[in-house]
Amino acid sequence: MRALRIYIALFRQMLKVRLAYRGDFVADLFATALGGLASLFFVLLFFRPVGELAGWRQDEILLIVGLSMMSYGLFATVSWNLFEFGDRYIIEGRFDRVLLRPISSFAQILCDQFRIPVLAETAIGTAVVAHAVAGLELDWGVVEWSFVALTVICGALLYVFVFSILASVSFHFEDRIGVAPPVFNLIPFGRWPQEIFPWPIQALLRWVIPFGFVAYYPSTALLGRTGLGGLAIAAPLVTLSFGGLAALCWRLGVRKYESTGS
Amino acid sequence: MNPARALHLPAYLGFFSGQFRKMLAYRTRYVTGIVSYLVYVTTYYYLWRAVFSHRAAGAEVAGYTLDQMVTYVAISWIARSAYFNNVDREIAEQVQNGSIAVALSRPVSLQGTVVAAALGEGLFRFCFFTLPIGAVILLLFPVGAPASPLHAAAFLVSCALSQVILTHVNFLVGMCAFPLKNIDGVMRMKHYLIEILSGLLLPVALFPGWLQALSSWLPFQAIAYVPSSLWLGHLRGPAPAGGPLAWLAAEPGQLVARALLVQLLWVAFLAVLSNLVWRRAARRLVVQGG
Repeated sequence: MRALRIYIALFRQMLKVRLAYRGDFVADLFATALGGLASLFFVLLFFRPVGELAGWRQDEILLIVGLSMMSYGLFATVSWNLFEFGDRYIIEGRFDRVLLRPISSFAQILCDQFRIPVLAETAIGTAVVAHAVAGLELDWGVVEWSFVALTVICGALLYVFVFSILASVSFHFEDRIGVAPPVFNLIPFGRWPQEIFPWPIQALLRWVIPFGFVAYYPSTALLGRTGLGGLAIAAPLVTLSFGGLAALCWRLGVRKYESTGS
Repeated sequence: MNPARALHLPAYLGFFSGQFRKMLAYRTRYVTGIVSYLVYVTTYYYLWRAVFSHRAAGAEVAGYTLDQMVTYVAISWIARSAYFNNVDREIAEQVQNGSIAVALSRPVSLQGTVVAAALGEGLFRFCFFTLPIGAVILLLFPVGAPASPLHAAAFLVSCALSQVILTHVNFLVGMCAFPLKNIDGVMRMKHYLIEILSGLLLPVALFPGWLQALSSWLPFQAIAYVPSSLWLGHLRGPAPAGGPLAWLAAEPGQLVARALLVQLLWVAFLAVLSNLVWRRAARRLVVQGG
């Protein structure tokens, strides 16, 4: 209970900091919304002359894109600190302060720099999914919508875990090149039907950096596309295993941490 | 602006080579950039492969065959690796930390130094980023040769003009930092606008009619669509034909000239506009404790 109270107090302080700059808040909201609309607009522009893609209709692709946007929006609320972890906390020495507080260092890193405006992407993603479901005339009940909710949460957590594993690399050596950007750039691969890619890319997005599980594999289950077997519903399992791996990497990293002394 | 000040060439050469050397110090940053560009080209390559897979050989989508589409995508990204820059971010940082006051005290124009430095960055990017990216992409994907030697030469000129156009667009976005201070949101909006409207992700010829008409009156298509169309010799596209210079179009040579003229007009227009905006901004600038 005490830990929870500290979390809430910390979280409120940090929200106050973010809300102090109204202009930035609004600009971030607009930019996020425009980014979401741009992804959507690209799919619409692409499909207008094309018609269909490897047996996938526009609304089916929109379901994948919408799910992926919902997850990404949730992840983006905490993503800044994961991307900047090495610079902000290790090199600039902010991690000492984090360790002094009697609550989980990982939770603190996630909460600091929490961004609310990026949830606009989740909102747009939800609208896209609703539109796709209506367009495909799918008659979904509680089970399907619960599966959507589970998929979105697992997808967001999967992004968090993948990037926290990369962030914990910074505990061991100063990352001059940046390992996160190339992994970040793999996200668009996961927004398209995986069968259009050759097997090495499919394997990469399935077993190594499993962004395929954020939206594509769950979508095949939602659309009743068979042939992928258990992969279609394996997202929670993949997320759990990456969660374990992320926790292990973080713990090893914290144990290794030596302050810069500043 | 006094012309003698604006034409102080050796000073601008200093900014040009200074920026080149500054970038050189950070060259390892570009290693991961190569991976990013490869991911983009790979994604669009397989997307278009899938689109054409159940069409007859030689079929066209909006006037492009598969080979042309792959070439368009690859060349667009290779060109972007050279013309891209972050002038807007750099100006915003200078406004935020007050070092923009130094620019005012220099006996040369800010606009001139920004363009010179951006060209220096362009040269760096061409040598250390575009060449390796281009080599990897040309090895991995079936990229078509330019339509003719004339088109190849025009493509190179066009890329240089793209760079100057983008630099000025970024300069204008950077000027927003005077009233707004933080322009992260504006910069991201510009990023998405350019990604779509420049024709980087999709050729403008695939847009619906209203968007093509809109694009032909905006500078963005002159950044990516024009150079890539020059490489392909694909200049019949309805986008320029509906635009302001539709009367000048018949022979291939004329089409090439028209494409470059469109870019030159945008350079001139944006340069004048940037100058006006900068002079207004400089007059109102307040640097705290500067």
